Amino acid sequence: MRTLSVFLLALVAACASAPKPKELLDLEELRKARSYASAQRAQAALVQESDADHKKAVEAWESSELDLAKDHALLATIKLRMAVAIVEEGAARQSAEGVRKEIAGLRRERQEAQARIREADEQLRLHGKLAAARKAAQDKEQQLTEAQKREQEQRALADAQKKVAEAQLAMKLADTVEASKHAATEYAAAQALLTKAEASLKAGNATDASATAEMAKGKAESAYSAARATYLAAKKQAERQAQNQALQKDAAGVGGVTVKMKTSGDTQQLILPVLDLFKRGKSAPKPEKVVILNAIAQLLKKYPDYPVIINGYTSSRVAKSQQYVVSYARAQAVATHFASQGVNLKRMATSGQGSESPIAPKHLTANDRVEVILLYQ
Amino acid sequence: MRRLPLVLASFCVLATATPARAEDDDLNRTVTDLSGQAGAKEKDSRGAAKVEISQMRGWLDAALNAIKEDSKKKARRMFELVRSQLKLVDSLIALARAKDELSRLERERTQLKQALGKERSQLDEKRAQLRALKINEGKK
Repeated sequence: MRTLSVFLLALVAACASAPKPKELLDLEELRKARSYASAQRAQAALVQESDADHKKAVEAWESSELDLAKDHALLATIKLRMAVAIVEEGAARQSAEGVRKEIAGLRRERQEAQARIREADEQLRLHGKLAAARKAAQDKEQQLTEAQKREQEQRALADAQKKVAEAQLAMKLADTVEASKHAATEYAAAQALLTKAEASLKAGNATDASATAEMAKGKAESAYSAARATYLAAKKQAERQAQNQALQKDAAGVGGVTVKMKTSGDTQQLILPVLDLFKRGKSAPKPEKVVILNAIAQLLKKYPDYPVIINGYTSSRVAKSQQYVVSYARAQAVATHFASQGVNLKRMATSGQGSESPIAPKHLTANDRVEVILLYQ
Repeated sequence: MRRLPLVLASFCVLATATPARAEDDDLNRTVTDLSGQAGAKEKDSRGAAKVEISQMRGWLDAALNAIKEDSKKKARRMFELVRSQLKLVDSLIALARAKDELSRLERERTQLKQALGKERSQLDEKRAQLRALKINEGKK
């Protein structure tokens, strides 16, 4: 029985096939992988060769030819791996081709982007250039404006100087008519304005100086206008007074005549009485008295603006009815004589006063006289 | 005539020995040839099929041993394995090269994408500057 058991075990052991070699197991594992299916489609011939070798390996294993099975399994593995490698290489090449196309696209995009960057750079450069040009133009305009402003200021300053000078001149003109005396308020205002204008000019404030100087000039002109009439009147009065004084002095120098002064209202009378000038009843001056008349004629010629009245007189010895006629004739005769000496006849008025206003007792010949009266105010 | 059997025997020995030596020489030449090819592949592979080449060298050694042990059949099976393996190594080298090229291209693509991204940013920035300038000009 024991012998039978050993025999049966030996028989089972003999009938059982040897274990698959590792190479064959590895191959079969490889054949299960997904890559095998891909290789079958893409490398059919090589996979078929591998399949054939696999088959031979299995047959050899089944025949317990383990070395042969191992070698065929290795061959089948090599061929299958080669097929897979070729497929993977193809896939890699295909991917590479795709990537190449993508790279070409990216390069094109880069070129476009770079071109646009260059365009943008150019535009920015132009903008920068434009901005610089604008700034330069603005600077130039500003410089020009400043220069114009300076010029305007200088012009305004010159104008102000001119106006101040005009105001100063107006003040001097006002001084000529003594405006400080005759138009004190206006003159003082003008003086104050001129001082202010001069100060403004010194401080460089042309506008203020100009305006103030104009006002000063106006005030000075007003002062001049206001003072002029008064000044001229005063001057004329002074001149007239001086002339009157001169006249009185000159009149006092005439020989044979005693000068008398008489005031009648505003009018002054300088009376030159020529006494005993006529013989009784006659109207022709005595020859020896003509020299006096000539001296008076010279005086009248020296003062040609003074109106002259010649009053003729008689003594009471002349018949009363003849007194006015004779006295008038005497005045006329003296006027005629003066005219012959070059005195303007038109300035002389004559009248006969008869025996009125005797200067001595009525019958004295001294009353046969004329009075040459010079009128003035 | 006595020598004839000896001559014949020698002839027979020579006749049978010469083909065997010629076959050995052929196998040895094949080993040499395949070893050379394996060396060339090893240089060419740049480490791409290290294991496969090592395996191939093992098979060549096995072939030499088989020749020594006069197991020509086995030697020829080894040769077949080596020849197939050489083709596999070729495929693996080609695959490695294709993958290298793909990697190189992918790196280039990445660099290009990065550069393009930077340039697009620059462009956007410059366009924004231009827009701002135009708006400011419009205000003037």
